[in-house]
Amino acid sequence: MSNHDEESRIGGLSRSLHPSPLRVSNDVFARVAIDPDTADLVPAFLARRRAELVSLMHAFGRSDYDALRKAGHNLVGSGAGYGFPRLSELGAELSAAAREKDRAALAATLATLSEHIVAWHERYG
Amino acid sequence: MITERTPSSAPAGDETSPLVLVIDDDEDTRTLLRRWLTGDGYDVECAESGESALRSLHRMLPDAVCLDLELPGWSGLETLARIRAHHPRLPVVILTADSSVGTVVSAVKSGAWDYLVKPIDRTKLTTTLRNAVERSRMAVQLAQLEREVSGHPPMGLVGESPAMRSLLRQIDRVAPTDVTVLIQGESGTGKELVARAIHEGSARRAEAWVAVNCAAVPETLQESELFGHERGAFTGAATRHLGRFEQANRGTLFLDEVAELSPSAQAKLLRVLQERRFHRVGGGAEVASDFRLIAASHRDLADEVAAGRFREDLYFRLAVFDLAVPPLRERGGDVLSIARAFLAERAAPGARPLRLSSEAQACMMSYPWPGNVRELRNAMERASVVAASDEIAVADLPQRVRQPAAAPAPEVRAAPATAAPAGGRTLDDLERDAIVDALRKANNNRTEAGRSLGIGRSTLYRKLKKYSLES
Repeated sequence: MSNHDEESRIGGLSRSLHPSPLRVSNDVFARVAIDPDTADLVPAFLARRRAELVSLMHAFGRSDYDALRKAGHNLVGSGAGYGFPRLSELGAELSAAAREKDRAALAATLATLSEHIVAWHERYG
Repeated sequence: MITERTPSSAPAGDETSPLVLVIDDDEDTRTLLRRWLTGDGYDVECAESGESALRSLHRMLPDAVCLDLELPGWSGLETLARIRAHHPRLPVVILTADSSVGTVVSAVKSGAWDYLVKPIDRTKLTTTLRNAVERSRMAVQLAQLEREVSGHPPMGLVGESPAMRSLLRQIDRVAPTDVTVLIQGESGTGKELVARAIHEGSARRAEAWVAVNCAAVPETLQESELFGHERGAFTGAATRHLGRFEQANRGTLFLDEVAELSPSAQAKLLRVLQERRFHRVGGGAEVASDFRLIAASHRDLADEVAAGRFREDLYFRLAVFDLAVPPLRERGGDVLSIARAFLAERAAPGARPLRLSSEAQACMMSYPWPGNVRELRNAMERASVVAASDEIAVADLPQRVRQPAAAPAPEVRAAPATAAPAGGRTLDDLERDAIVDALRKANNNRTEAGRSLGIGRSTLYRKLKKYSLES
């Protein structure tokens, strides 16, 4: 992937943090399964994930692969538990891409991640 | 979509909720696991690193641990190794995002009870933890059974009262660990028995048991007693003397009445606990000793610290795990269980132990036993000597024991001055008050006062002399 492509993706990622208006596929919500026991924790969880997107972008920008890998690891652990199995999957992808220092895969995963987190936060936050 | 909640699954059969320690540096994971496990009937404590977990582990003694493999500072495997070193019976469930065979094998080889791959499935988590907690509690119960089957539970530790059962549970949980223990309780409650039970339940049981009563060692000799001295270290030190710390190498050192140590000995003890090395008095070479320390005091060490008589830093070193031995008056029917155990101990081989009459039992149950188990033992020794039959009667008990339950003379009981004995007053105080009251009512007529007290004139004169009431 060229630098232009990568920057384009990051730009898209940045825009997706401030969506207006938000248009996302219903697939984003297809596998959401929130446990009533933890439903009250979900809004704050999603708010933290949304805020975290900025720091993930910064980590990507300065090639801090360890921070990205660790963030992915944490998403693997918590995503499905809060009702978002797709978030765990994206966390695993993020972690794997960071381990490989695969900037293209990282950019793609971050874009998908931001799209999902923003959509979930808008609906469940 | 909202899913149905997982049914509760904490193990039943124990009156306390099982305690799980969650070690994970991710706050969201800790929050989630806390919520799940609390909902399933567990008590939950959390730590964000292996270091902080180890610091608090000794104090909380959980039934199981959930440990994330990827931690800052000490890794998950390093934390596991440290937990296993100090708490070999504690089941640890590994949480890992890495399901590769190598990781799992390393965890299991390091002594993990089980592992769960992230994202954690709630049902699997609760099932795994239920098994882990059952295993943990069975290990404790097994230790209790072994002690019972071996037929020699320490005498003062006999009993089924809630206070005693709680203490025994704590002993069984802390014994196999290697942590320092502080035992506090009134004189005569059996602190040394508790310490001995901890030693017997530890991996050091076959090694030395060294007990020192710090109150019995003169201040000037405390350092020499504990750390030893070289020949010529001071006047009279004709030979090298190995101190108690060296004698306890590979075993357990019990420092009774540790509050009685001098400030200088306290400072040296602190250094030994930090470094596990020390110098003999008058010696230049460092000596190492692998000991487990158990300390005890009848004083409240926290109060001693507040009063400036005991080093705070040493207190925290000693009170890594603190045990409170309940006084006998808070142990209900244990009084009779322990008494029967003492009587059985004194019975000749093959002979039936002496029994306690129902009146004697009532008398013993109403007595507060300020001297605790030690006083009870003495009372049973006396009673078994003076008992005229195979049953111990009230009259066979020491006077101080039988007096409160024995029916006093009606006159004395009716006397206003003695109707409501104040706490802490002795029988002599009550008797003196009754005599003064009787004399007042009889306008100092001693014959009449003696009659109202139900005692003869000569007895009254003897008691007047005893209480300096002759004038």
